[in-house]
Amino acid sequence: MSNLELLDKISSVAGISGYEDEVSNIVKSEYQKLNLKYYQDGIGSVVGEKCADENGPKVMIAAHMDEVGFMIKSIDDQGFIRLQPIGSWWSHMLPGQWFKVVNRNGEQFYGLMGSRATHGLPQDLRSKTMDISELYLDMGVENKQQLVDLGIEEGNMVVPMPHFQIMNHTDRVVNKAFDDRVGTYIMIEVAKALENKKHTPLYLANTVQEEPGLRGARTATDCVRPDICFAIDTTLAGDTPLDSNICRLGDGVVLSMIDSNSIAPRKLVAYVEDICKKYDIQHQYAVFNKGGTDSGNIHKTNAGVINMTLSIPIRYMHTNSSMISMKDVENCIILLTKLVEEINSEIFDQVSMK
Amino acid sequence: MNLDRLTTLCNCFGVSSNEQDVAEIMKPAFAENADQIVRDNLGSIFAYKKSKHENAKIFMIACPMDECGMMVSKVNDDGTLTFITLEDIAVSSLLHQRVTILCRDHSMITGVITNRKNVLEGGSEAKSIHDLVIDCGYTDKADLKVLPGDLVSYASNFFVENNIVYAKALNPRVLNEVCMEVVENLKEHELDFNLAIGAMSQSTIGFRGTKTATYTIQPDAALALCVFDNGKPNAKLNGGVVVGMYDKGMIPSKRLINDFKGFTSANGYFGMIGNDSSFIHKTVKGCPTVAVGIACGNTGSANEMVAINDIDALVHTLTDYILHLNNEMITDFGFGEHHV
Repeated sequence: MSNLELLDKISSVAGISGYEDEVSNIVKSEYQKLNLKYYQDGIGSVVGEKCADENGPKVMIAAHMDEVGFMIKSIDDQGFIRLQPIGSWWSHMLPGQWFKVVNRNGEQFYGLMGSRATHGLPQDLRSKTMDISELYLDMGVENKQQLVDLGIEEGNMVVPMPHFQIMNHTDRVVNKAFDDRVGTYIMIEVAKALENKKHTPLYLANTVQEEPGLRGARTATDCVRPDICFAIDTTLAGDTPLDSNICRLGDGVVLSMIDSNSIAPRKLVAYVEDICKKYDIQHQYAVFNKGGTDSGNIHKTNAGVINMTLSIPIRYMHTNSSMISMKDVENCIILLTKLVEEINSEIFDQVSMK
Repeated sequence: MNLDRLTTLCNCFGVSSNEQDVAEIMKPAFAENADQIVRDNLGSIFAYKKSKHENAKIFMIACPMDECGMMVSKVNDDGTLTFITLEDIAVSSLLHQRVTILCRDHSMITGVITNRKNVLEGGSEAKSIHDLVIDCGYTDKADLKVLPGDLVSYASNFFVENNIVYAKALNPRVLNEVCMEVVENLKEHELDFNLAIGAMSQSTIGFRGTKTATYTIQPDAALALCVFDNGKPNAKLNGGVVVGMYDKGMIPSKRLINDFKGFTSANGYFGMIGNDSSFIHKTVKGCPTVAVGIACGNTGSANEMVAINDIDALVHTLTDYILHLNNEMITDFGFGEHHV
């Protein structure tokens, strides 16, 4: 049973890297409802604890709260805004899109990403993508002062306009920021599924600043010192006319075998595959060594952690509108719930790399 | 030089993230000749000689544990395997090489890397990794038990001729062998400092175990063992021990390198590519570090070359250097006590 209202709320809230306060407020209130203790690390990651006093290896689940977006870099006299990308963007996906500017008081304003007039556009410009530095946000104002009066200034956060949409009576949904708000949603649903159960100590790490460099992953891991960790993120689906790889919407939770910063360790993969078979959980694989996830920093923090990433296939990652399948999300929630219920000291010895 | 053991090392499957077979080969030598074995959580393995002295410093000698390799990314319908490389291996080094695939159940399958062309009619060329597949002799996907994510290594034979060893994974297996022989040589000696000597998981792929091992050992000074490209100035097969003077990852500790070069007759090597020293020297509180090793030809290929004389020279040099070191000297390499 998917809680689409919660997924909508979590993915629609504005929170770029370094500006995750509103997301962490939602996470904290959900942990409060479940009576979980929580704290924050030195840069704002939220860590919830469940069954911390039980015996067993410390299991951490991590998902990042930050989305890709922009910061206001400068405002010209006419009121057009120049942007600093936060996280990676392809400029082709930006002109003509709606964005929201959030000032330091949390007030939100509409902005339209500017574009060239298309009529009479010479062919050589028509066939090129713009450089990201050429982009600007059109706030519809007459001059800079009108923005100043609204409290808009250099450094303010800019995020895609949210638009949560269930696709045509399917289990596919679209919105901004499913990378990685779906991970945050999954963690909350796992905590709910485990609500009255006792299990190995569980730490729910909602990390900050993954997109610019996996930063909260490092700090949260130092706070928790987990024995085993599963990072939850999204991975590129290759099931469209333009993109082809083995990963498909609806084929189940993805066991990410490698990313640009980490390799899933064999024994942990074998154990996760066993759990999938035992509980008939639909799963698939991704082998993609270009993108990174929090695992990149988690596994090599301090003396090392047995760690891998479980992913949700996503179309159109890092754009205003990404698509995922709730079937994959449900499979991921079930898998994580079973993993937390089943992992004990014996299993930890089994997956140890020593 | 223990040629049989080096052969076993080179023939085992030790691709990045799957190094436990290497650890199993190193364990007996470490257990019999040192006071304890130290591991980190990624599987790195060190022999630890504990000094009886109070306030003994910690000296670390470390090499990589993982060999370069590949990973299956897709099992194609026609039974071939599409793959990615884990490290920066040239496409030209891959074409036509024999490989071993490690399946989920730990069985191994042999295959050959081919391009998708008819060689006799179309010529043998591969410009990018997308031109390549692994062919295991199956024509139907259904008969193969390989899965996406399975690791792949080169599958070369090990042989010696003219006192040169030809094998896959000499980098880092000769260094693993060197560690074991140094520990064996030091068995009867008591040192006034603590010595940790061993191999680090997932180093070749990106210095990951380098960080976790350094965190675990907390060295006061270190030597990072590595290979240097054969044929560059000061690094040639049969040319003896080489010491890194500079690379883009580290400028070596002056006091440590002057002492090392003064005591040994190592040749200085100016390179660009970094090695484990890049991270040992700046992890946790940091420590004086120098990169030391020998020349290796065809590094990263299915057929690397190392001179047996060089392996022996490195063992003797390191043994003698450790016996020349003491606690006071290690302290003097550093910059005073670390006040918290």
